[in-house]
Amino acid sequence: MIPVRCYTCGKVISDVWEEYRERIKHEEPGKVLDGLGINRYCCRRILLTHAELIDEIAPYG
Amino acid sequence: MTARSALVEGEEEEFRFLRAKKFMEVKIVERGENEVKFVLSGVKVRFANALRRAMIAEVPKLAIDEVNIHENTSLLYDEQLALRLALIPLKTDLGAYSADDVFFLNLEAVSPERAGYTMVYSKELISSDPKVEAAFENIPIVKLISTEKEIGIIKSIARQKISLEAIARLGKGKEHAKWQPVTACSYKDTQGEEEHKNALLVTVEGDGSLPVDEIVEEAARIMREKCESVVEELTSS
Repeated sequence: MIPVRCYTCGKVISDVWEEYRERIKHEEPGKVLDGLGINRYCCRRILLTHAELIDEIAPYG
Repeated sequence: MTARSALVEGEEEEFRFLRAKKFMEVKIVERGENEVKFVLSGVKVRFANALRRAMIAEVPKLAIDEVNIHENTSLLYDEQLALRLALIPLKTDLGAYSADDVFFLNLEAVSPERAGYTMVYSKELISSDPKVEAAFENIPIVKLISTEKEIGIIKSIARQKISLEAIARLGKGKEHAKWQPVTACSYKDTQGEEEHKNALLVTVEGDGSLPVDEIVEEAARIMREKCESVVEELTSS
């Protein structure tokens, strides 16, 4: 699951995660983040580097 | 001109000097939905820092503080679920609540009947007070997944469920960051810029629970109250 907020500054970033994930399929991630108002690098790295593992764990739950 | 009126005039001039040189001036540079930038002039850095620290640590807001979990068969542990809930900013009407008010938020969700998933969002929290709600609707709380299991010829679906009651309380940033109404909250010297010499550019970004103007106002009010209590202590003894 995507972290609810940025670890560093505390801005809520999880509400744009699903849109971000869809849009990066045909857009450049940096530009998508600009469009979503994720401006600081502390917040950007959370979305950029997140690996959604919950589906991979699901069969073993 | 009499001597008296000359004195008054002199005083007025001094007063004007004080206003121009010593008193604080606030000029809003930029204002967004959840952010405000203003130039503070006529104050020392220590004043801006006191204001910054008051905004971070002293301005109260609502956050989930306790969670009673009736059922949780999701992939997240109870404490992970509780942490995610606590970090959701809740809209706070500071004037309407007192320090020990509590609000209940219920959440109930099940994964689908067939193989698939349900994403549970912050908007699904059902509040005891309609004014207390998540500031962001689409914060994913947990993904509930139904998996198909085949044992011999029998196919069965394992579903996941959560059922809980969350309790929100007012708190301050000095106790826990979940009660901090600001995210980025800083000031910087504007010395290089000719327009605002010896001034500070203050940036305040809210987390959505309180309007930014209210955060700044409340922080200033708290600072004044603290100063007043010092005076009161000194004069009463």
